[in-house]
This record gives sequence, C-alpha cells and structure tokens, in this order.
Amino acid sequence: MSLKKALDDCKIDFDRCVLVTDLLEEYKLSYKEVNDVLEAYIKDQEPAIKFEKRFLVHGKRKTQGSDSGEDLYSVVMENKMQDWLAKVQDAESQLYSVKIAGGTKAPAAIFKPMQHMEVKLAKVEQRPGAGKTVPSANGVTPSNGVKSQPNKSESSKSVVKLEPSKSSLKAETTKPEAEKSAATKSKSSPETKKTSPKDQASKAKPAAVKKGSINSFFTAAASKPKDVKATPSKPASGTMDNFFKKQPAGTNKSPPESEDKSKQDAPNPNKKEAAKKKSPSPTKKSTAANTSMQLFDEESAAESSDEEEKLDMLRRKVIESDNESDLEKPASSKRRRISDSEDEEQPPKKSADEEVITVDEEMDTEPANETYLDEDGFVITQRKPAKAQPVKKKVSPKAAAPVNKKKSPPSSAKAGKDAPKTKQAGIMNFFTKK
Amino acid sequence: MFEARLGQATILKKILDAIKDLLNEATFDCSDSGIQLQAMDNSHVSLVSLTLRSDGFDKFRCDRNLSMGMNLGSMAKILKCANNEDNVTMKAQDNADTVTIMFESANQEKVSDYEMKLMNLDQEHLGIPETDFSCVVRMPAMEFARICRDLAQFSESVVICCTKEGVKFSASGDVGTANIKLAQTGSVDKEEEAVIIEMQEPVTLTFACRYLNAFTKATPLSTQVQLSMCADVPLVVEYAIKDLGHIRYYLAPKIEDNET
Repeated sequence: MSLKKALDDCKIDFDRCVLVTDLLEEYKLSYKEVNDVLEAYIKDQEPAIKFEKRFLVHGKRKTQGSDSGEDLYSVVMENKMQDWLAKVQDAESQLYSVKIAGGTKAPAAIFKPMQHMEVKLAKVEQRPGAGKTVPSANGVTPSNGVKSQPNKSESSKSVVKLEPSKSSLKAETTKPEAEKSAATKSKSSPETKKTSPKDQASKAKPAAVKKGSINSFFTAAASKPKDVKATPSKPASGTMDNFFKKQPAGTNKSPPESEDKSKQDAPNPNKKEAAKKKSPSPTKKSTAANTSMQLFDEESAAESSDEEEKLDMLRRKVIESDNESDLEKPASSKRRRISDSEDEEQPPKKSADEEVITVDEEMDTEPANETYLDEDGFVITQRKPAKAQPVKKKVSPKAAAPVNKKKSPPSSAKAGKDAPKTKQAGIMNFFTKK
Repeated sequence: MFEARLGQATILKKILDAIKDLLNEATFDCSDSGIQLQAMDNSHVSLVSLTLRSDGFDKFRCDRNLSMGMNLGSMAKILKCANNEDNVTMKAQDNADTVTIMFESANQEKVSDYEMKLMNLDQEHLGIPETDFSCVVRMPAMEFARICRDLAQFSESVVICCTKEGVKFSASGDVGTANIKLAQTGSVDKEEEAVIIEMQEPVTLTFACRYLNAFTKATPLSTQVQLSMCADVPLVVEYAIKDLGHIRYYLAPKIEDNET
C-alpha cells in the first residue's frame, strides 16, 4: 500500500504522533517522497484540521572564535523553528513528525472498542496484552508507543525526556477503560452475544451458556448470592456441587455491619474513586471482601470534601431504599473495587463476572459520567450518583438468572445422551450346545 | 491314570490367575492330546477356553479321557504353596474323586504334595463355530490391559472400532470421553511391541469393560494379545501360552436395545 493511499484511506492515525522516519521505513520511500506526500496531505487537511509539526533542525553550533562548531541536531516545533534556524550555522530543517494539534482525545476510546469487537467477532478471546497493541494498519506501528498518551510519548521521544514513566503508567490505566467501553458497545449489539464469555455472563441467559464449560461454572458461582437469598437458612450439603455453590455465599455472609458498609459504597463509585486519588496503592493490595471493607473504612475516614458529603447523603438514601437487597451488596461493592483497581488479586471467576457487571453499569450511566486522569495516572470515572440505584436493580436479575444454570450440571445427563442404549448379549446366543 | 508335569509352577499359577476371576469352578478335560477347559462365567456373558497341549508338558500321560471338576479358588490356594521354579505334577487315578498336585523344588530336595477333592460339575460345553473374523488385531498384551483399565474409568462399555487406519478404543461416560487409537506399527525391532491389524472390513463393537479387564488377568502369560472381531459375533481375546497352548476368552458384544 502506498503512503498516499494509506493517507487517503485514513489508515494513519494522526491523533498519535506520526514520525516521518517510521513512514520511510514502512513504505520504503525516499525522504523527499514521504515529505512531499505528507505535506500535500497536510495542506489538503489544513483548514479543517490543525496539525502540529515538528522539524529536525540540523546545523552547527555557533561558537566564539571558531568557524566550525559542533554539529547540532534538534527536534523543534514549527513555530520555534525560525529561532533555531537563526541560532545555528548552516541550518537546515526537515519535517520530523506530524500530529493533530491538541490531539489529546484518547485514541483508546475510539479504537480500542473497535479492536475489541473485531476480536469478539472472530470468536477469539482477547489476550491480556491485546489492549495495549497498536492497530497495525496505522503505518507507524512500532514507534508510536502508547496509544492513550500520544502527547507524552511523542514528546519524550522527539524532544526532551519529559516523563518517561508516566506514559507507560497511563497506558496501563487506560486499558481497562477501553475494555469497559468495548464491552459496553458489545452489550448493545446483538451479534456479539455468543462471542464473549463475559457477555454471556452479563446477559444472564442460562441458555447461552454451554453445558460443562468453564464459563458455566463461573457464572454459576457468581449467581450464588441470589441463591443464598432464596434459601438463607439452608446448610451446606455434602455434595461437591453444593460446596462450590456455597463458596461465594460464604463471602456474602459477612457481618451485617460490613454488609451495610459495602452497601453504602456500592452505589457511590465516586467515593472510591476519590479515595483512589488519594491512595491508589492500598486498593491494589486488597484481595477479599473483608479487606475491601477495611479499605472503605479508611476511605470514609479520610475523606471530608464537599463532594463526599453529597455522596454520603446519597448513600444514606440508598441504604434506606435498598434494605431488602442486602445480599447483592457485597458483590457490587467488591465489583466496584475491582473496576477501580487493575492489579486486583481476585479469583478469576469472580473478577470475570464482576467486570462484566461493571461494564453494564457503565453503559447505563455513561451519559452522566466524567472520565479523567488523576495526578497518579489513574483513570477516574465520576458517575452521577443518582444513577446508582438503577444500577443495583440491574445487578439483581443477573444474579437471579444463573440459578437456572445450576440446574444443568455439566456432567449429569450427558452419559445417557451420547451412549446409545445397549444391552449385554449372552454368550449362549452365539454358541450352540454340544 | 493321568499325570502331567510342568517344569515351572509359575505357568500354572498364571493360568489359574487368568481364569479364577471369571470362573469359580471349571472342569479340566484331560485327553491324550492335552488338557482343555471350557466354561462360561456365571452371567453367561463370556466364555473361557483353555487349551494346554500335551506336548507342552515335560511329561504327559493320560490313559483314559478324564474330566476333573475343580474349585478354582481351592486350586489357586494350593498353587500358592508352590515356588515359581518348582516342578508341578498333577496326578489322578481313573475314576478318582481327588487330584494330587505335587511340587518339587529344582534340586529335588523339597517335595510337597496336595490332594484336592474333585467335583462333579454339570457344565455344558458349547460348540464354537469356526469364524472368519473381519478384523484381527494383534497388539502388546500390556497395552491392551492398560487401555482396558484406563477406559473402565470412563464407562462400563468400551467401543472397539477397527478400520484400516487402526484400532480405536472409546469410552464415554459422566467423566467425559476417552479415545485411544492405535495405528498399525510399521516396523518394530521387538515383535512383542507390534500392533498388527488384519482387516477384511471395518468393525465397530461394544463390549463390557468389566469382562475385558477380567480377561487381561492373562497378560502375564503372553506378551501379545489377539483380538478377533466380527459383526454380531463374540469378541475373541486370545493369549498364547508359549509352547503349551492358549487361553481364549469369548465375550458377547453389547447389542442395541431395541425395546427402549
């Protein structure tokens, strides 16, 4: 594919910094050709889109008393180029990189969901690192670095090393969000129903889950809170099946006050987000429901902003109105915790399920949300608290539906189905008496 | 007068081990050609046929045809008293109601004899027709034993499917499905490791794992086992006893239950 075609087809993402050197390599063209094509393209686009260009300035440093100075290479912004050209002797400049001016709109939000969908359509599970990959069609694949922070990675590369660590950190933080939004999209489109196991769980349709698959097991486990609620006094029976089902219930059987706590936290994601702003590291360490309780305790003690007071008010309202759904609360609180922290050490089955739930929530509350990066590079999604109550209602059917799944244990009825009915013949049928 | 002497008691021990799980009692038919045993298991699903040729014995004498009904459990107990290297001699008088089993150590220093009561067993002998089997598989006996043991964990039944590609043993149950395929070996240095398939037409038959596992008790007798199959005909599992004869197990296949 020629560079011109790639440009015409919008295959090159100028939201990220496009290095001319990368284009040279990618399209095996001479500098002049690339420069001409790029300049022409930029000129075409220029009135509508503002580009930020950087130039490589090469010259000799002017030193006192000597004619021949040291060679100097510098990558400078377009507006500062004239100064640099004046500063150095025998100065020459070449286009070095191009990107859309102020193009900080997160490419992840646009591209990652697309990529995610592609993966889903192909019925392939997304690899853990897949979120970080750059679309290969961009033409500047290897050098562009992190999608989410084009500015920083670019600046660190081209001019000065400003914040090398930050860009990588942010790349990590943006990933889950991209996945969330991807999942949100997938939920809305019917064709992705079968593809993603997470979606299956989120749909809470028992028929969609394959018998005996690991997926069915996970969803069955996640469905337990509802089950426990239905028969709260039932003791654990001896079967293995029951044992597994009881496990998640055990996590729910936390002391009532802790449930309340988590209940309080569930509808107020802002609180945790705010807490995370302050201390992201403890969130990562927490693993179980208990620890999350402690975490929330700390948070509530630590916070005293106006925003927090508002949230507290809302929380109280929620508690008053939602006393009956106490068993769902621990799950939701934990879920929120997971959605906040990436490095959560959770049993995979839970995190898988809960992530999906979080995604669903996001979808519903999305118009009211505000997402930004905090100082520490965490993605903070601020939700309008008023949306919190419907969110809970969303969760409950999910927990209810897998109850049906439990009725189809993976192994039970299989033997009868696949083994044709046979009876043992007698040896006398085949041999005659002497 | 009947007298049969074997150089090693271990062979007789192995023979007894190979049949005593299936048969509680059996009649040894002695003639000048050798010793034969044919008996069905209690459920009449399988049949054991043992042939010990007279020329395989160190000494064999049978003046008159003799049928000796024996409790195989009792006989196995007696044979346990023998060392593997001992010579074993079975003796019986004509029309006697006892059989004497004598063990002599290799250096003749120890001689022990055991007398066991014979039984009058009213057992029917079945005529086994000559059959041209569609598939005859020869494979290592150990391998067959392993396959039967492994597949028994999955199901009560094993499906044996023999095609030109090889032989496939399958079992499907609550745990899941197991398939073990054996292809015909090209060339092997050791004959006992070869898998050889002679096939006229493909056959797929279902058999009860329990019996197959009982048959594999004969594995110590032979390095190779021969499975002969034909549609709607009992499977024949044959273990050769070197220089002495063979033991054949017949197992009725499982047939489709049309009633349900």
